[in-house]
Amino acid sequence: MWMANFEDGSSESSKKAFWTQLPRGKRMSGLQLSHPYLPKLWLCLNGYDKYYFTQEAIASPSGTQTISIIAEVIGAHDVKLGIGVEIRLARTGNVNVRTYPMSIFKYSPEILYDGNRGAKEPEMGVMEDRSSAEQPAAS
Amino acid sequence: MSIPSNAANAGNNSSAQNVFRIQFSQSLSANPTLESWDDSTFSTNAREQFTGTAGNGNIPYVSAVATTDSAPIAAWKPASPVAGGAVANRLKGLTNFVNLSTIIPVAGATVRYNLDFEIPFDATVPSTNTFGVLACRFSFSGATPTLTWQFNDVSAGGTEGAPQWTTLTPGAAGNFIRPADAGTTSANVIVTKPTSGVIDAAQVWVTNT
Repeated sequence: MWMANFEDGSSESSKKAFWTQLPRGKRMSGLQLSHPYLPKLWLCLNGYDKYYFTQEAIASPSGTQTISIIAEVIGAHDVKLGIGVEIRLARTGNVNVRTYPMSIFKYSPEILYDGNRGAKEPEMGVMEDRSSAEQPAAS
Repeated sequence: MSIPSNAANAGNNSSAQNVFRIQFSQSLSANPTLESWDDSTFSTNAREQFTGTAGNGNIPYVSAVATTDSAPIAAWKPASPVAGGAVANRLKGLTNFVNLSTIIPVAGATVRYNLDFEIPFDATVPSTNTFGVLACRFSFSGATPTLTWQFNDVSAGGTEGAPQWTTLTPGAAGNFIRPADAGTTSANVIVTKPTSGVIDAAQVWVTNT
């Protein structure tokens, strides 16, 4: 489950909206992803110029009919440095973090939302326990 | 439309664009890829289609080419697998796969591809455990898309110029995609091994069993 925080103090999550339904007029201050098996662990990006979220899935014409969600991905861009950072959270619980040149960004520009680049340096890590505020849910 | 039927202009010796396609009900966020795996856990590549045989140089023997953006040249099958993604490739999980388009599909859009089955003389018979499953990997950020897998159905009168798309039935009791000889009829969908070297199956059929 993702949660987007905005500069006006409001937030949106995948419990209430699709990523593509988020308002364009408000700037994001941070983006978080909850771990499916460690609900107190939130993977967080903040202090960037752009943010995105996507889900990776796989489906087959034979075998199981259901679409399998493989991973949830959050990412952010530092426009000045031309660098992207991406956190990929697999359904298995494995977490991969990578940085990449923005020039090889492979997703649609339409999933990028403006960030409110704050005074803080770009950081990435574990947020406080928010499980009492909003419980992550399987998506 | 009916199944079993063969896909129009399937195989390596074809420059057709309208052979197989996948339609997405919702917009994607990245270009989709076509892969092949042992089964629907999408985790292993141990079957003979991936390992190949000595007769074909021990390389994957099911190939695909993306035809979404343009028609391929005939004899599009690569001589050897291409690392990662390519327009045409010999399929093996995430090691060798096909990039289905260069434009990210929006809701209702389709991607198209063709398939080739290279059959080596020493292929295992019966082929019960030879082939795995096709798979499409995709990314989305809005509503979850539904994927509709279709083929250009010869028995429905489908041609390259006027395709007739029949939907494959997914699931455990769903359809199969099989290599077949030239002149195959629905009563007997088989492919005959060569006595030496390899052949590209002359036809590709969609069957119920």
